[in-house]
Amino acid sequence: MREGAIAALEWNGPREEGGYYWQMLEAVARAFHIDLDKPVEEVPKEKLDLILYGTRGREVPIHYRTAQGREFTFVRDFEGVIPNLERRYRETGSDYIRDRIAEFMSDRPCPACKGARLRPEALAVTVDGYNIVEVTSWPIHRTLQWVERLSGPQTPLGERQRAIADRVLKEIKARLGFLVNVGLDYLTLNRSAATLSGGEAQRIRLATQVGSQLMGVLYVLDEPSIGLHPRDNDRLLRTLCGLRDLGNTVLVVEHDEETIRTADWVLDLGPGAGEHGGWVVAQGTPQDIMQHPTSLTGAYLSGRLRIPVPSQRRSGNGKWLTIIGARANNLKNLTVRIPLGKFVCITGVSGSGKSTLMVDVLYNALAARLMGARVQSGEHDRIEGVEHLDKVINIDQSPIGRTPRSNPATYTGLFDEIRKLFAELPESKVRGYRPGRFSFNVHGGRCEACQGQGELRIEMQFLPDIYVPCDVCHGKRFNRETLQVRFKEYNIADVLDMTVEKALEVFSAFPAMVNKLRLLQDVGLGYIRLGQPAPTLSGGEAQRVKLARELSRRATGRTLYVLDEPSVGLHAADVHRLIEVLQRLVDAGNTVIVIEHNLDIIKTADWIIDLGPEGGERGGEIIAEGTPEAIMQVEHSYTGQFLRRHLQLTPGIPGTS
Amino acid sequence: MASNVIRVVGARVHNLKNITVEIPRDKLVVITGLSGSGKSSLAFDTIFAEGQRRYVESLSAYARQFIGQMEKPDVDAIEGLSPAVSIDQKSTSHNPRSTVGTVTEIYDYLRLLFARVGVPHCPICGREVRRQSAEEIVNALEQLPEGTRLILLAPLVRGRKGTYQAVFEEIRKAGFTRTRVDGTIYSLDEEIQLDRYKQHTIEAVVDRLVLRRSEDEEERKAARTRLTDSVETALKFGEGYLTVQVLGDETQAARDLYFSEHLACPEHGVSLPEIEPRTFSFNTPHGACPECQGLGSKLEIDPQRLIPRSIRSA
Repeated sequence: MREGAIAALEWNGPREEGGYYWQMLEAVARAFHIDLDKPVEEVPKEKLDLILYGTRGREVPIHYRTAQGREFTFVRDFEGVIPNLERRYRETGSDYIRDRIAEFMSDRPCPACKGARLRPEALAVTVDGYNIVEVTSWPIHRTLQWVERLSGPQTPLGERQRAIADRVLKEIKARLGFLVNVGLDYLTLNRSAATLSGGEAQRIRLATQVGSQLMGVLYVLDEPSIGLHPRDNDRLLRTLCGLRDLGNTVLVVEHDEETIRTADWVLDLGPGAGEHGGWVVAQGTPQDIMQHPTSLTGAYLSGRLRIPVPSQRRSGNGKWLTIIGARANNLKNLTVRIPLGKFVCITGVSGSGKSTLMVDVLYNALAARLMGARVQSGEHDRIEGVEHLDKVINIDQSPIGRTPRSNPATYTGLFDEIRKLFAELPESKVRGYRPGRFSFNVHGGRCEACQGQGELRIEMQFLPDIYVPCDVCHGKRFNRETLQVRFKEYNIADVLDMTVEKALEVFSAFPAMVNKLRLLQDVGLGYIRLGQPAPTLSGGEAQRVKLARELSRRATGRTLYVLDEPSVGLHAADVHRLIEVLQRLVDAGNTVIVIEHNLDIIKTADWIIDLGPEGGERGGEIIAEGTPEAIMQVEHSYTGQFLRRHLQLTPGIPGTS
Repeated sequence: MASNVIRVVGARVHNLKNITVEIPRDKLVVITGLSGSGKSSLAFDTIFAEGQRRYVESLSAYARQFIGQMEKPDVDAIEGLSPAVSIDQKSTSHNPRSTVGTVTEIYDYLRLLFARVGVPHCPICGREVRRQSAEEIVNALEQLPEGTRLILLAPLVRGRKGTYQAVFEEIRKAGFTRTRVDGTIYSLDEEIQLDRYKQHTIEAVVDRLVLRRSEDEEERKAARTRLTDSVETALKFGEGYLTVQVLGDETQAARDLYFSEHLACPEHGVSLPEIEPRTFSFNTPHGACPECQGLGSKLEIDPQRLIPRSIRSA
């Protein structure tokens, strides 16, 4: 303990001047005969508890020497390390101290209610022998069965109870039914809404809307198929059609082929992205779109254009990564072998444990071992084969930055190159401008009225803050002198306002920039503006900016990339491009693991691991693993079945024979 | 306005090129296109934004000031627009109190169900708890076999430490002559010495009687009146609680029956609150676990982290 067994700052060990907390600890040790030189494990538990939880009222003589050499002697009880930290956590005004203490804290089920959240009195009320917490802890399909039993002929309720419960049960049954219909039967009612994926939350809201039975409403939906296995897509489409049949207009922004085929009317916008988009390319029934000569959507829909299935699957480098005994969440003590040097796809219906296995268990464990990250990995015995890797990178959909000062150009390092270029211009040389002059984050070149933000926040007291363009720079973020420096006819603010595509033209003579810009375009982001503030990027866009940055790094050939649904928000043409980019990573010897529902991506994988069979408690097992060809032969694999159907729709492709 | 299309004329939001489209009403319409081709600009930033703006315009100026100003999308006209509801993916709740049950409102209905048809139990012993009137108690007692000998007791102290001389004085003053202490009946004439540091249960003996089913109408009525009177007295003196000791014979051991006028466990005296839907809400103090305020988890110092294993035997 004297060597710092207790990791918290002040309890760490003797300091030169002693330290108040440490002297207290020594006093307690003296009073209760605890040997501070012994390893902690050899200190008897009850004595260790005295240190950790305090003496509980028993007083200890403390002899305290200050740094100045003054001495005090007093007698008081010792509050204990843990109560001390908890008290200081509650009372401190300093965020720093709070963060430091929070490192030693973990969120644990409440000792009184064991996570049930209710008073014991409320838990003691039962219907059919179950209390309300038990009912909400079941997956929705089971809760529905229970409600059906209560309202059915086998009901355990008495005559009077039935009369009271009848209408309530009907409501519950209808709402649970809507949730089942949108493919969420694996969720539990007590699942915290904050932990739902975007797609799940959207489908819950959809289910709620269906329940409202309104008509004459215009519903606008953004990609409801995200995160949905093709098997559940049917049910979602039926729900959307149900909304329509009630007499509503349902307007869906969607890339999913099934959805487009089901639509009554399709609007195809394009032809390109950003400045090249914004026109109506085609409109009409799905049939009309397919026959349209120039519609990209129609071309993919009709099969005129298609993403090819690789004629050969990679054999990989023969090395394997093996996760042994994965038990986190619903995983059933899985042992999973992942081939390295391949493009690996994890599939399975929503809630089958894909993300748990790949992110919670695999990524977190590898990040802790390879990258020194301070994360707790999901429960598993061990992982073998880590020695074949030297890096692990999770390219997820979390935002690249929360401040408007971050943008794709700064994130990918492109802006550094641009600023260097601007500083090299003759005009800058004359004026003595250095690269820092062209940053909107530091003093010098930025507009000081808005400190480079381009807009001013006006606090409206009880109304939400409003943002107005800065009236000095008019949103340009730089001061007048800086803006006078131009490359070709563009000043630095114009550059930030350019799309990636435009920038490719403008900076075509600079290989370093072209390299970064091309990668952005390759991942389908040709349309974003270089200076687009990070918080306004969608999850899919943020993910692809990260992908572009990773691609621009020198590949070690021993890196493992983990991507969760990279196809989100991508049109078939963009998916096509994305696949090529991912294949490039694998060609360089790296391993790419994607969690995906998109059949076009699944079919191009070298190796598939299909989890299931269902979501939630009924999932967490391996259904099939192997090449796409092997998966298609597995009768009880939903993914295999849909893959077979998908490839039959686009005939003449190797792999279907 | 009898048309069955939503007509968007001259939309120029973001990169839209002054486009005019007709969207059939009451149909499933998909907008597709490359990423960044303007799908969301048309669906959300034009059509939905205008639908929402018009709705907000219909509110009073007073209400509008709380919503904030909505910018008019850059579009010449939109005809045939209905009230619009957007179901996007961003507006998820990050409140730790929101659950799937609460956002779908299913939990509200479940609370109602449990409040109205749920069966309350004692949180300590798990026994079903029921509220009984004196009349119901009398009816229940009359179901016991003929010749059963009963002692009606009014519970005053339940498993608490102390000597309780004042309680005995109170019983005496109320006119009772016997008391049951920890299962043994004493006359109040005796000096009763209790161990101050042990837990005691004290009841006043209100009546002792034998159940008889008389043939005679009058006698039966009189017996019933006596039983009812005694039950009422005991309930009054025991503040709503009643214990009945059924004396044993050769075939059966003695046992206690517990009754209460309150929604409470008569044995443990745990009084349950009135069962209302809010009892099951972890977001009100009426239902939330008082320890964690209904969050289900607590942030605490974890000794595992405080003393990391790597240096545990340092």
